[in-house]
Amino acid sequence: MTAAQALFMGLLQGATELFPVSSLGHAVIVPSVFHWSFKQSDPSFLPFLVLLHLGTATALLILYWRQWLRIVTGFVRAALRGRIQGEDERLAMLLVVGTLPAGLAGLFFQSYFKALFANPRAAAAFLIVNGLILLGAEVLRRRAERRQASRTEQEAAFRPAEALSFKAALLVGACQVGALFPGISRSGATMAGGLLAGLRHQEAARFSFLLATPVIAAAGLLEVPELFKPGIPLGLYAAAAVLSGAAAYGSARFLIRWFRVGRLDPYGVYCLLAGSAGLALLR
Amino acid sequence: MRGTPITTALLLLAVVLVVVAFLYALGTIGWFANPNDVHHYKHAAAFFVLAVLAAVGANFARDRPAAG
Repeated sequence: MTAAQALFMGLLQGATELFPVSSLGHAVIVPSVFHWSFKQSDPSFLPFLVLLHLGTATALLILYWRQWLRIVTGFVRAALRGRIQGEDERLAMLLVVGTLPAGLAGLFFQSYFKALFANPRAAAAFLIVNGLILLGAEVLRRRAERRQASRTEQEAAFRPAEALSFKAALLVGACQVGALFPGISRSGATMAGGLLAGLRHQEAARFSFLLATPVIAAAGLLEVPELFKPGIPLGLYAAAAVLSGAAAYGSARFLIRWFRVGRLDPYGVYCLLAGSAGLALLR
Repeated sequence: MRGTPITTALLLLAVVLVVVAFLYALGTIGWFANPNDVHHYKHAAAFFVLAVLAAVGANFARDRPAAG
């Protein structure tokens, strides 16, 4: 991998990790479209991914550091007391429940799924499926909205993340399992799940980002020893990780603002087009 | 406050999960883990976290006197 390719991949990963368009899908499709010779399945690629994930997770932690402080202290307090009091403690426990399905599935089945589906054509096909999921979630959401109201009023009728039931949090968390398929977006699946669970768009995005942080951080931290194997260009990879983190921070800020009144539709349409273009170009 | 059957079950589960975590760390078991690794620290860490969560769950499941 050349320096330019590494930096581009860092930027791409950071930007697409939080946009509901599948970072893994893009990371599989884009190099193939450009006929870049490096392979995602190559063991030397793992340390690169580790640092990119750590960059993204750091960006999310910086963005939500006050919330994470309250969530962590809330978890400890509730765990010791054996009872939930207040919104922070409830959000902490909702995140624990929501993280379990993807954490377990990722731990046990990620390498299996990657080996099975990490080819560009499959990723392009799953990107189309991702687009249909996003558009489908919005179709169902529109049925639950008041038609004559403004977008702000429509959104206000739905719930914040703290009001989710634990069953709903588990189901939203289970949506993250879909992201094991390259082309299915983790944030897209959880946002779609959040919308179906009755969250406001902005809250669905916030819950999705909070849910993603432990999984992305753990995926990165657990592989840190890979960074210290011989022959790893740590400086270049670190620069790509910084770009990835900056892109993730910028895209998270953009999305939180977008989802005040915006919807998933444009990202759904983008996935349909990008997936179709990928299938056409990768014949 | 006293234990319920669920509390006991969750505590037992926590103990089992800690044992499994140690077995993964030692490399005695390697289910669903990379066969090339001798020790499976990722799985060990995950099972340890699950053990902590089971213990937290046991604390939540304890019988408490009704409020008021």
